[in-house]
Amino acid sequence: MDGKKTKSPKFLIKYLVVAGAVCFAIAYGNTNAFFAHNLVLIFLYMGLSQAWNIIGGYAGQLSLGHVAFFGIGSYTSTLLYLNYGITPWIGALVGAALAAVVAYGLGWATLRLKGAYFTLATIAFAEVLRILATNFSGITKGAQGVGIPFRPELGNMIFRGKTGYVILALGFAVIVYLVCRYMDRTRLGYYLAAIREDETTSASMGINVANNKVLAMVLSAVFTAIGGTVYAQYILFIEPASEFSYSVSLNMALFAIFGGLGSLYGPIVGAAILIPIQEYLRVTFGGSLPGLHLAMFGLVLIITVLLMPKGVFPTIQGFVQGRIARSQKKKLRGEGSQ
Amino acid sequence: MKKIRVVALFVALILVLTVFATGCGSDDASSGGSDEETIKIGILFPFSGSLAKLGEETYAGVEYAQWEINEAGGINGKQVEFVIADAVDATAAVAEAERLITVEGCKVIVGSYSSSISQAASEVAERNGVIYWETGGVAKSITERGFQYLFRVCPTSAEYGTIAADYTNDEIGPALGVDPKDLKIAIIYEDGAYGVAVSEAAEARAEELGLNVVVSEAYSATATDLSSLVMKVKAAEPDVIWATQYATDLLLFWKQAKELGLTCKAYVGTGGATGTAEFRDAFPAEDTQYVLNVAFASDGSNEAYANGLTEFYAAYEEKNGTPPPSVYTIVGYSGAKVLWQVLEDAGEMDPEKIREAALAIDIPEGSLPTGWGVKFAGPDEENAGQNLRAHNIVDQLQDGELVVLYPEAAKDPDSKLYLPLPYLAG
Amino acid sequence: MQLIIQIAISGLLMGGIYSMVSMGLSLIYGVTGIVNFAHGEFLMVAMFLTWGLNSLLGLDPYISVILVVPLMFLIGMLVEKTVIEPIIKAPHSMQIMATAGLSTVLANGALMLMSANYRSVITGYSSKTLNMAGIMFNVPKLVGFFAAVALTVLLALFLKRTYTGRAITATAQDMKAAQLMGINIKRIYLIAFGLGTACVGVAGVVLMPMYYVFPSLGTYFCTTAFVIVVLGGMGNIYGAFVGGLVIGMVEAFSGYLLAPVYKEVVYFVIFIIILIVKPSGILGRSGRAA
Repeated sequence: MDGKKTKSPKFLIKYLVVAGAVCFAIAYGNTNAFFAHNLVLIFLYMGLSQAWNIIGGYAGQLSLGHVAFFGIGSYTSTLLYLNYGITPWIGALVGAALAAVVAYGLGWATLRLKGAYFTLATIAFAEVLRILATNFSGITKGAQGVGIPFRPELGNMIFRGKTGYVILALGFAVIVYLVCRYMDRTRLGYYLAAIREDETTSASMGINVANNKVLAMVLSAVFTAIGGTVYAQYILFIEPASEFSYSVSLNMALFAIFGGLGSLYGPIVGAAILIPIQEYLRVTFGGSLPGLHLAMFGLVLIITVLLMPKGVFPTIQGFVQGRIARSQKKKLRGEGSQ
Repeated sequence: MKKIRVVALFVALILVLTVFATGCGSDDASSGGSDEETIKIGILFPFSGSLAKLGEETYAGVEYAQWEINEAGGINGKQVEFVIADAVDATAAVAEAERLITVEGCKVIVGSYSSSISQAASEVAERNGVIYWETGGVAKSITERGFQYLFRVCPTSAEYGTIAADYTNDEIGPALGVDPKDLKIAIIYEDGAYGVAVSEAAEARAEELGLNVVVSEAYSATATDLSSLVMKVKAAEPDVIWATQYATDLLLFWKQAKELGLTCKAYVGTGGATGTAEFRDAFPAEDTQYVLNVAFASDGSNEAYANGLTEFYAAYEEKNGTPPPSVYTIVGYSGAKVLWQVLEDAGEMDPEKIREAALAIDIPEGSLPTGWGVKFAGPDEENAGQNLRAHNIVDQLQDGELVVLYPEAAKDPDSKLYLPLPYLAG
Repeated sequence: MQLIIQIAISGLLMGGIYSMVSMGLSLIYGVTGIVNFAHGEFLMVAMFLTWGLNSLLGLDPYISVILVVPLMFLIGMLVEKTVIEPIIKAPHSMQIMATAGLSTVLANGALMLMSANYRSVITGYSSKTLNMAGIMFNVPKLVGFFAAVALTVLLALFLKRTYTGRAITATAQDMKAAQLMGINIKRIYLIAFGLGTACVGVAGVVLMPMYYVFPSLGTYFCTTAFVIVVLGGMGNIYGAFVGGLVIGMVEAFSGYLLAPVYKEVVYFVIFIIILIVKPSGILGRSGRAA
């Protein structure tokens, strides 16, 4: 991105291609609601996975309890909307703020933990929230869940057709992308990368390891919570079992890991590939033998790890770069021989 | 720059993959090519994941009903064709409902056993003006949303609770020779949507009747040890226990209750787990003797009340080689049979016509194998779409057989309530 | 008083079961550094094997241990060879993805083969209880408790007294040094993974007479096992034993004193506190020693 000036027309073309493809997808989604649903899911998880990537990828702290923030986001906005009529647009921000506070506390407590310990602590934390949400039924309505009445209106963040949701989820993904891209190029991004590579060295170079990790955790939680609100407004029914479900945590992490941990595009690529695979397998094999589609999905994960142990995006990137380098080398050699 | 090119490539890949995924279904639709001659119905149940077992068992009944109607020449001469979708959780339920409607072109979706799956999927059906036919999801809130295209054949969860309280008041008390108000009642329930709904209804009814609930305790159905629950209930020294449980937790509780010396005089399972073959098979008959069960009607029901139940059992076993796996199978079967009737009345697969036919249907109680009749609450009434003639029964395990005791119409004149419970007599 | 003793005994006996389930997980982590998210599914597989041997050959669960444990050892080695070995040096994230994928494959493979039904083995001793001065001891649980003790002792002896065992310990303490001393690391990883899986095989056998097996069973035990392993210090098998007993007791008492629904909250909170105060676990030393 250094040669912005010289390459600007080309640069623009690529953005136009992406924008064109997305517009086409939305337009097609308008005619096929199932396709549109998949787009909503893909964009939503692109955003969520990118948010997870801030702490899991950039800072290298593998959280498997991010659904805690997801649940905080969805419950906060929904309860504010239903009990006090506060629009989910504001509710999402309140949920994000709450998630930030919780992430700050949790971050200070657990981010000193190394590797697997941190992962397990986050799993436990999310489980605690799930149990509390199930049993504090005075606030959360408990296990029976909360239905959001269908009143389509922009102000209610509820839309009649799917297109509104596709755009909402896309907007969410784009915002998280822009934040990540900004972060990638600022000091925080470099600090986090340094911390991930070698904590001790980073500390000795004057980087405040704890502060930066907590900051990453808070940022990550904020966007995860907003994603939770988007999800709640889309499904219009929330319950502790799905809002604090371990599988959401796992998915967020898997998509980012699959695509390529700690790279700006990894989560985007991961969500864009894995969700269609998931849906395709379920549509094709869901009606046959129970469990078959999930078992196949598990196999996809294992095979990916075995074939591309760095993640899909870096592997392909490496491949493309390798070819470019090779072709350049060839050119050079060709010139040399002349 | 290279990065962006790669990303552009991947965005294109999303399109290809997703179009592939969404298009795949439509291939089936067109290759079927016989939309005119068959009636296509979307089937939405959890076939994998933690809800798989009872989802599968409910569907077994629906599947049998499909076979039966097709053997008999179909509905108005058309064969019934199923498009099956696996709704693992609420998100998948939305996706699959969307697919069944837009890609497969289904006008009727039959679901779904699980209440949360039903909540999420029926929302989609409603918005698309497609009939959602609920056979087994019992949460009351499903029909509290005033939906136009949603019909539920089975009773709500609240029924289990109220009947447990009524039965305790009317029958258990007198049978034990005690004023019901002097009975100490313990309520235990799994902490999911189902357990909470049933226990709340039971507690509310108990209060109306002036019954004495001494302890009410929730627990997680996935618990691997229930000794603390048992000890807690034991300390309250209850006479009657109302329990809303799934299968594994019932089996665990039943074992540990005996081991830790819990005593009570009557045990009322609210919701059917105590009526399953698993419960009967896991213990010798004397250990399950006189357990009471608030449930859907099943094999112990009197023939005059549960119309066609015996035939269903025999025919199902003849076709599949095994008896129906559980009472949920009968529920699925009954629900589907009502749907066939409605579709026949409607004449064509138009949601509006089907809706009118459903609202017009009027079947007296005792007509279905579950003992239910059918009359759906109208769109302006409370609980729109709820079958007002679906009720639960109370039965009791006597020598390993379920004997129906309530309501009076379902009861065999010779059968009677036996108490106290020998297994937990202490 | 009697009530409190009964609660403590119930908790302790259940704790023994938990210990046994966790021991293999701890061993595998200690040696290979891999957190096996498919551990609960291995337990499910072991229980299905026990059930299968019982229903096909009529073997008593406790006797079937002589077949189940070697089978699980082989399964463990097979999995290690195909899935774990290639990723042994990969980043944690990839290991999580691989073992999470493995857990999905095993749970759903079982669903495909066995359906979602619950299966149990009924034995004459399934619900036998011993009554000692009003305190109830459930016989299969008592057996489970002693099996846990025996397993801990045997494992400790194996790790201390045999060449392979000492090689495993050495690898756990310092992989590079062990390699320099001429230990075949690949083989050690293979054996350790097989051994960890065999341990969960014992747990499966012991659980079968008192519990039920179904495809999604793994998740019921998985989180508890994680908590225990961390509590005891990851990689420490005595720690796993003590951790199991502690969790069993905490569960029993908090379930009784507070409410059954909150017992998980209580031990998760304890878990998080211990992680913060003493990240190496209650019996933990620094490092991943066994």
